[in-house]
Amino acid sequence: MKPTIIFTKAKCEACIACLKACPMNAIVIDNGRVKIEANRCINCIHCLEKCPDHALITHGSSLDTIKDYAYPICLVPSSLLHHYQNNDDIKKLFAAIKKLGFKEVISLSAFEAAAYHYFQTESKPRIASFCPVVKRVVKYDYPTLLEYLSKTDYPSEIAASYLRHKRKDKDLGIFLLAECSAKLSLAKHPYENYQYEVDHALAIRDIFPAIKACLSDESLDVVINQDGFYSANMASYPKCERYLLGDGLEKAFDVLEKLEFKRLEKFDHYVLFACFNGCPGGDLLWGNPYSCQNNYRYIMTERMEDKDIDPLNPRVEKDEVIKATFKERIAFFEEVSKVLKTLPGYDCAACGYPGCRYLAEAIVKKEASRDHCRLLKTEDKIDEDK
Amino acid sequence: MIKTFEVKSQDFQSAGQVSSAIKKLLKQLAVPADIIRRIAVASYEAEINMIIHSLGGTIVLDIEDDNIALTFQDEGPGIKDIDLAMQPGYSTASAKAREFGFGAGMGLCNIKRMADYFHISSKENSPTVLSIGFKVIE
Repeated sequence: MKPTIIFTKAKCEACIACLKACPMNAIVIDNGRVKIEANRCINCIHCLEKCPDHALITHGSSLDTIKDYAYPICLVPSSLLHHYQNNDDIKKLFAAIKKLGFKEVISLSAFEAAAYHYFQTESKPRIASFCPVVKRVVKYDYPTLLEYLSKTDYPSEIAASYLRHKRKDKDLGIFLLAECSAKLSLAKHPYENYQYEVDHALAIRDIFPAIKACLSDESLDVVINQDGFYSANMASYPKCERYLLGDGLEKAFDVLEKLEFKRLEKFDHYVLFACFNGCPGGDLLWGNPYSCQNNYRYIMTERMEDKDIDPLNPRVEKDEVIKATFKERIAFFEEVSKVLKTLPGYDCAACGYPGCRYLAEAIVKKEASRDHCRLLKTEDKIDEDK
Repeated sequence: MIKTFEVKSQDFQSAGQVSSAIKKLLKQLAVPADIIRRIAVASYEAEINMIIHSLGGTIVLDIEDDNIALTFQDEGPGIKDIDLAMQPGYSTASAKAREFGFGAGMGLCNIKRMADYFHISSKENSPTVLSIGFKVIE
């Protein structure tokens, strides 16, 4: 899947800050260009945050795309609502969003609740997450835990399938307000992920000025589903002694590592978010995640049944096919280890690869040469000078 | 391909580090997930056993085309009664080990359950050698 992080060469000073920040070692700097490996990137945007030159950016679809559809619908995640302190403001917000050109503005809370309810009925242990970052971490780094991932789909997808079924007669354009860069990838556009039902992902950060300009005394009736609303925020997540809640990517790695060793048998459910405090801490929201921690206490919500919503994910994600046999993979590994022994082993990353092993792999694959290593180059030069 | 790792006695701080390294290596080799999980759980249990009970030792990982073998060899003090040690819930772990959350007495029988091949040899006041093997079928 294409990363939502885009490299703009003009601003890059090739300082390797992004490469050092990447928890997945998915970045290679080749000839002054930052290359993000699509099959490793989890869209956590650690690289973007650490880039001093702002050479890495993310963006959603533009508002002009709304005009392309006869019946555009906007999906609003609950994490956005956690930034408000009363229902009147939320109703005004929905009215303002509608003025951007949407026929309907729908709260995702009912669909988040459907996912949450289904998750509780699943066999244990179970990793639940609306967080695409955590899901990708499991896929790439903890494949042994894939079978524990909740079978539920993302709330935006549950909503999109539901709406396409209920409004069959209309030419729907489904827009998702994305609260984080990772969720920008959960739509057909702008990152060409055609397996999703949502048509466009909009970055809340970018369109918020337009929403603000539309704010008035007008309001739109909104029903907020309690369980869905509460499940978006770490602080309000329904507490249960057999639930393990974790926010922050570091904690997610730690929990998954321990879970793989079966060291967490006291828990049945693992709810992990990559952002601080869960989705209200998303990088595309303007507020600060500390102040919105307790806002949920002031919002009126309703308990609702979600009978006709199907939270399951019928899509079959194709796994990468490994072509080499186990024997060949061992041989490759040993060859890489042999090259690795001849490299300095400081993992300085000055060569543009995340560490010596990665350079060694590239050398074996003939994508790089030993000359990439700046340290070896200097040593050779000193030898020559002698 | 053979890799050797050292384990120190009573080193609870680094408990699990060898198993993590083994797990990481197996993932790099793209070993099927269910095999990695069984090896991870077994090697973790055995590594903890070495830290709690032994005077230190080595873990040898031997990867062949169709088989992954692990050998845990320590420097003593040996197991008095292996049959008793194999019983679920039987534990001689120290209070310190229990403080760290280890020593439930499930180690050896869990390891046996995970492995395709299991062999342990030991007697009092002599080294213990635990060998386990896993078939690799793709």
